[in-house]
Amino acid sequence: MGTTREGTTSGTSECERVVRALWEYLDGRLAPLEVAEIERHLEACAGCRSHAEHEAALLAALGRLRGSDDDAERLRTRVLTALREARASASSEDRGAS
Amino acid sequence: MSPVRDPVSQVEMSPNAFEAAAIPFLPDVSRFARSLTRETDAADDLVQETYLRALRGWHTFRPGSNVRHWLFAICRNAFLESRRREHRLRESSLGDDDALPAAQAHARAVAAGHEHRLDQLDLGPAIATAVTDLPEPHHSIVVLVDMLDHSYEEAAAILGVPVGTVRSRLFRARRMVQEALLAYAQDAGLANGRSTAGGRN
Repeated sequence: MGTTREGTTSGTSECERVVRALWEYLDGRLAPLEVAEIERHLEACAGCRSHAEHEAALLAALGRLRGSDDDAERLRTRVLTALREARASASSEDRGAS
Repeated sequence: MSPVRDPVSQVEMSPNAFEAAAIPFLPDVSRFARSLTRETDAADDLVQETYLRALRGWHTFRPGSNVRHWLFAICRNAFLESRRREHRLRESSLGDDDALPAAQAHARAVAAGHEHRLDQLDLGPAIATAVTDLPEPHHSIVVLVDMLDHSYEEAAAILGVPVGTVRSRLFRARRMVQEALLAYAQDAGLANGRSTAGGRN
């Protein structure tokens, strides 16, 4: 179901098939033949092209939300210290039990 | 002295072996934790908890399994437990569906004249909120696939669900984000009548 710039729905079965495949197309999960078919349709159909641009913009914006890994060295030191303390605590408990 | 091995799994049990296997993935686990929590301090606590749990469970790790996936699964379980304790966990009761209804969200945006407003608004904060508000497991799937670039197969391995389930839940989650953004655009339009509210110029 493609949507034209005027907001009406073209509703052809070809549009419906393309819209159903858009996420997988944008995720790079389709075979080359299917990609070529979708790209042919997007060139010809303004409604579906607009839809694809809309979805692609959403995926790009989601990708920009990735948490940063600044201050990685501080976190590494913190985790290694916690692991060594946990091991020291476990081995002193073992010694106490034996 | 030869390393101590678990007689069943044949995993080397020494703490040094654990560190050698798990610490290289610390930046990945940290990014995952920050993407899940959206809060730096909470993310650092979650990473530390993940590694402590992983150390305790190292004897259960199966040789040949993917250490990174194993750490991500532990991290996500720890995250869900903390959210549950804080009564902040939203779990989805929704079924799975496919991509077609996304067309309806787009059609509504076009019909309401919000399509270009969405292009002009700075959607970063609104998208972050929309993702954080997603129920589980949709939230984790969007984080893994859309924010951290995992394949559907990797996300399926981490979450312990079939690839088809990842696919359908991912599409459903994206649609929920689209719906939230549409509501945000409508509010922005109604609130100030301009399309640049808080946005890029």
